[in-house]
Parts: sequence; C-alpha cells; structure tokens
Amino acid sequence: MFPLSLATSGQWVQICDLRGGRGVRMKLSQMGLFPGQVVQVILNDGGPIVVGRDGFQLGLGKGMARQIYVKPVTS
Amino acid sequence: MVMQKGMTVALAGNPNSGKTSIFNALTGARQHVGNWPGVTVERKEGHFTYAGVHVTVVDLPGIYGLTSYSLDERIARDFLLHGKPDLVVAVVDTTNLERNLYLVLQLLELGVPVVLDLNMMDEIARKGIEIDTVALGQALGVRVVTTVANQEEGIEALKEAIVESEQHHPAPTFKLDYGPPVEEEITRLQNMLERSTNLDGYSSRWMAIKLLEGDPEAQRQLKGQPQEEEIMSTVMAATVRLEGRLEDGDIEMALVERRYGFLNGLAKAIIRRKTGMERRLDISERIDRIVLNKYLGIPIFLTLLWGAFQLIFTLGGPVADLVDAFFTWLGEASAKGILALGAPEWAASLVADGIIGGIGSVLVFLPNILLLFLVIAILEDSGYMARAAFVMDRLMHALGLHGKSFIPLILGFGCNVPAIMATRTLSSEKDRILTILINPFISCSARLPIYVLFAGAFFAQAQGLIIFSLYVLGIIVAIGTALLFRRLFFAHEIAPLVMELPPYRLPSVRSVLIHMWERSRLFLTKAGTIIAITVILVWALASLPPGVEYASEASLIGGLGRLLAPLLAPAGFGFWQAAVALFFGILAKEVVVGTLGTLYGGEATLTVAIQSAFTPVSAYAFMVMSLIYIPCIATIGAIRREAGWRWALLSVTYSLLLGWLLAVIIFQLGQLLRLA
Repeated sequence: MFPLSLATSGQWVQICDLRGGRGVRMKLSQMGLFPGQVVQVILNDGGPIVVGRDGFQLGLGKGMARQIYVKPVTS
Repeated sequence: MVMQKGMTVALAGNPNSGKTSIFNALTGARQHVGNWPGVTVERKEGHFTYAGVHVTVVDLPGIYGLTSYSLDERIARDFLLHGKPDLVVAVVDTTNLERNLYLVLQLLELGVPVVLDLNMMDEIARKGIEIDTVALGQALGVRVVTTVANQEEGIEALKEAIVESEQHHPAPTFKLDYGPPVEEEITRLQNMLERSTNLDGYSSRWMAIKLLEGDPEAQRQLKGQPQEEEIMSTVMAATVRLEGRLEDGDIEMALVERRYGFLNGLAKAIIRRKTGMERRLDISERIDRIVLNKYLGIPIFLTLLWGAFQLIFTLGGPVADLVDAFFTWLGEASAKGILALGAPEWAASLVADGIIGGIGSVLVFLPNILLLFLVIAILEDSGYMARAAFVMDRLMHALGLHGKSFIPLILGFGCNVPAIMATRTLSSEKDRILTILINPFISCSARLPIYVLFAGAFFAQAQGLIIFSLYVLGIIVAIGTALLFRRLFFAHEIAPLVMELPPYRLPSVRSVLIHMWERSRLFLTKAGTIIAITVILVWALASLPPGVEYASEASLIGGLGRLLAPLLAPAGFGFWQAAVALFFGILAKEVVVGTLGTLYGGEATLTVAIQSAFTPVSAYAFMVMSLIYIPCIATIGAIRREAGWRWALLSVTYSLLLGWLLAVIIFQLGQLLRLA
C-alpha cells in the first residue's frame, strides 16, 4: 500500500484507504474514488495527478493524492 | 373551461452529465434565471406544456451526492425536501453509469419520485456497450428513458414519462439493504423517529441513515425536538456498536462502500460490452498528457491567454472605433434635430452631452467585452478551463490560494460580479472569502475605458505597454493582498484539490453564443440603467442651480468636487472634475469616463481637456487610483451577498486606502524624479 502520489503514469491501482477529514473522504467517494475502486493513473509527472476509468477523469492536487492509499493491480 | 393541470419537476445530475442540454431541450427559450433563496447560486426555471399538462422545470445545481458538505448539495437537498417537486428527473451520463447512479441511489433513499434519464446514449453505442434498461428500471423501481440531449433525441419520450408520472404517482419502492448489523440499527432508530419526531418531509429511513452517518444537517433537524436527547443517545450507542462490528470501524465509509457494491453488481448485470473493444487511451487523455505536463502546462496556458488578449484587442479595436463614430454622429445629429424642433438649448445638451455622450462613451467597449466573454465561453465549453485551474494549482498554492481560485480570477478580467459568484465552487469557506476579496483588484473590462482614454491622451507612443502595466499592477496587488490576508485572517491549510476533468469537446456555436450573451447582458443592462441614470444625474448637478454655467465650478457638482478635491491633491489630481468622476465611478467604473465626458463636453473635446488638466505622471496616478480605489457598487453588493457585510466593509476601506496611497506614492515619486 502506498500513497497515490507515488504511483506511476499508466499504472492501474486499487484504492485501499482514504485519509483526511469526513468532508474530503465523502467528496472523493461521491466523485468515484472510494475504497475498492480501480483506476488508471493517467498522468503523474511530479505535478498534479490525473486518474481515470471508463467515463470519468479526475484531477487531484499533490496534497490530495498523498491522502489516498492505493495498491497496484495487474490487469 | 378545462382546468390546466400543473406540475413541478426538478432536474438533478452530476456536473457534466448533460443536464443543462436536457434543460434547454425540454424548455427551449422559455427560461427564467433567478437566485436560490439566500444565496447567489443561479436558479434556472423553465416551462413546457405536454398533453395539456403545464410543467415547470427547475434546474438543480450539478452535484455528486446529497451530503451537507457543499453549498450546491445543500441547495439541491433543500429544494428536494422543502420545494416539494412532483418528480425528480435524474440525468445520468451513461458512459459513467456507476458513479452517476450513486446520486440516483441517494435520491431514491430520500424518498422522492424519480424518472431516470440515461443520457449520452450515442457515446455508449459508439463504445460498443449495450445496456438492459428494462432490468435497470426494475432493479431501481423507476421508469427509464434514454436520450441524446445535444441532438434532442428522446426528448418527447422524456416529456411523456414526466407527464405520465403525474397520473401514476410512482411511490419509490427502492430500498438498499445495508446488511444485518446496520439494518438492525436503522430499524431501531426509524421506530423511535416515527413515534416522536416531526420529520418535516424527511423519510424516517433517510433520517435514520443520515443520523448514523453523523450528518450535521440531520442533527440540526433534530434540534429542539421533544425526544432529541433520547434519539441522540440511541444514535451514539448504535455508533459504538457498529464501529465494533464493522471491518474498518467507519460507518459512513461502510455505507458508501455498500452503495457502490450494490451499483457494481447492478452494472455487471445490465451492461454488456461487445468484445474486441478494449479500453485505450482516448483523445482527451492524450491531450492531457501534453496540456497538463509538468513543464509544458504553464507555457501552453500563458500562450493561450496571450492569444486570447490579442484576439480581444486587435479584433475588438476596429469595431469599437465604428461604435464610437456612430455615437459621435448620433450625438451631433440628435442635438441638431432637437434644436430644429424648437426645443431649448438645455434639452439638446441633455440628450447630446448627457445621455448619448455618457452612454456612448461606455458602449464603445461592448465589442471588446463581447469578445472577452466569447473567449471565456470557448475556454469553458471546450473543457480547457478546468485544466487551467489544475495547471495553476501549484503556483496558486505558493500564493496562498487554491487551484480553483484561478477561474474566478480569470473571469474577473471580464466583470468582477460573476467572478465573485463563481467562487462558490470552492468548498472551503476561507479559501472562498479570500478569493472574493482579491477579485476586485483584477482589472475588469469596465476599467478599460479609463486606461484607453488616459493612455491615449498621454502615452500615445506606448499605449499598449501602459495599459498592460495596469493589468499587471492589479495582479500584483491581488497577490500581495492574498499573501497579507492569508497571514492576517485565514491562517490554515489550503483545502486539497480534486476536480473533474470533463472530456475535451468542440464547443457548439449555439451554447457558446448563449453563454457569451448571458454574461454580456449584465454589461448592457448596466449601461442602460445605473450608467444612464448616473450620467443624467451628473448632467443635472452640473446644470444646477439654474442659470449657472454648465459644468462650471459654481454648479452643484462643482461644489461637491471642491469638497473632495483637497484629499486628492497629494496624488496630483486635486481638481474638482477628477474628484467628481471618481466619486460617481463608485456606481460603475465606466462612469469615470462618462462623467469626465459629460463635464468636459463630450468625447470630441475630452482628450484635449484632460491633456491640459493632467500631467503624464498625474494621469498615471489617476489610472492607478481608478484601478484600485474601490470596488463598484455591484461588486460591493456581490461581496456582501457572498461573504457578508464585514468583509464587504473591509474590502471597501482597504482598497480606498491602498488606492489613494499608491496614487500618492506614484505622483510624489514622479515629481521627485522630474526635479532630479
């Protein structure tokens, strides 16, 4: 398990845990980033991070990405 | 006479689900834009009649859920509970079914009757996906309609479903099973709530679930009820029990996972993918890898911004000259016409100098403003604006701002009023207020006329550079203020950024034009109302008392100006005309030019008149003063509505002092340099 901020571009990951306050966790969940969800890291080149899966794409600030713990999935 | 039946329908859906297209397709031009009670969030209402039923459609803000954490979600929730719509049409982006249905689940749990609209069905077909809509409708207990909103497909069927729902009164039957430990507690709470509490429209099951989630709004609802303490202690006991029994001990997240678990199962049952259509990087993702690149992101953004300004000024300039020529002609012609009719000189002066001169000097900028809003509409509709906020996030953080603060700042170049309203997308109240407070320093289009007039009169060689320097100064003041206020009032962590990046699309001409028009209309109504009235007032005050020479020092307005002028002397423009112009400029900044135009007798002589009244240094000081000295009335009003009286007062005082101080410093420095 590692923070999403350390994932590499192109990698598929599964979300394991959301840290941070209630409001933030609910917001992430409602936007589609909930524990158990599988997403592809579309861009992580040191700036902000983009993740997506069929039908949606989300941009996350660095600070936000550090609060999201993920594990790699092999597709 | 046949009684016409009426019903109210609310449109709910995620941002970017095509909700607005559905709204436009349903109601056509029969729309009305107002505000939600108590907040300045736009409330759109429209109408249509189908099979003899008159339907009012209310467009709810785009939301992801019904928590009470964000303003938009609270507004939607309040309307669903207290606005008592007869039906909710849930608009769903079918390409992203699971997440969109999450909101639908919450609507169903709330107990409101729902018609489900699967939108963007054309993209589904293109992706080779089939959806069993019958099974979906059965699983959720709702009627399902499919649409392609931007091509107006399926709209008639949607109307039919809406109107028919009135006859069937579809009671929501859907109930999500949260599993034994949670269900036990829900039932226990539900029984207590039903016995003792006035639920005020909330279903007892919804209320029980929200109390278990620890929702602050639900707790507030309970406040003051006879059994409040007993219920809250039951909630506490239930929470303790559940935390022990659930895997990771977090009830709220457990419920979220349960809902998504159900949706995942549902999606598997109803979605069929044709084989051989693997997920590939789509075009949006390819573009994003370049546009959002660590090194390329900011240069690309700046290039686009530079191109936009080029377009606005090079294309807008010649058109503005035409408008200018038209008003000069209109003023002269109407004065002649009025005199020829035998009307007195003052009537001709009122029309020519006062009304046409004043309003004309403002409307000259309409082409620039239309183009500015056109560019903003294109950036927004294409999907780039969201990326720009994202690209700027790191830079904004360094300045103590949030990435999302950036969009309101860009909008501020058009007009600070809609820009301040746009801050509501910021979820942290502190980030939002800070963004509001620095917005007036972003030089809006209303200030442009002042720069163009003075830069043209004094710095003809370097006009562009001088105007550009004022824009930059505004940005510097905004940044300095952000850093200062962050330290003084808002010492806290900046809320982390998460935002949807909608797929890039070619903006449709129609929607871009609608957007542009909606925003420019504000400028036009302002020119027709506040500016027109002020200009006439200035003209009247300049003509009174009777017999006084028009716009002379002995007139009423001259007296007002003389009163204020000494305050402005240290800044180099301590004469009454400048004081009067700045005074009335508080109503709207265009009025500064309009007033000078009225006082110095029309546009033609204006340039010569100010050349003799100002020096280049005092002219620059005057422009700086005009940029900063106070937000206009409409902006102050927007600040008050969005942030409250105290912040509006602070904004006024701070900008008055700062504007005066900077103007004085510039003038005095200029004098020193000249002496040296």
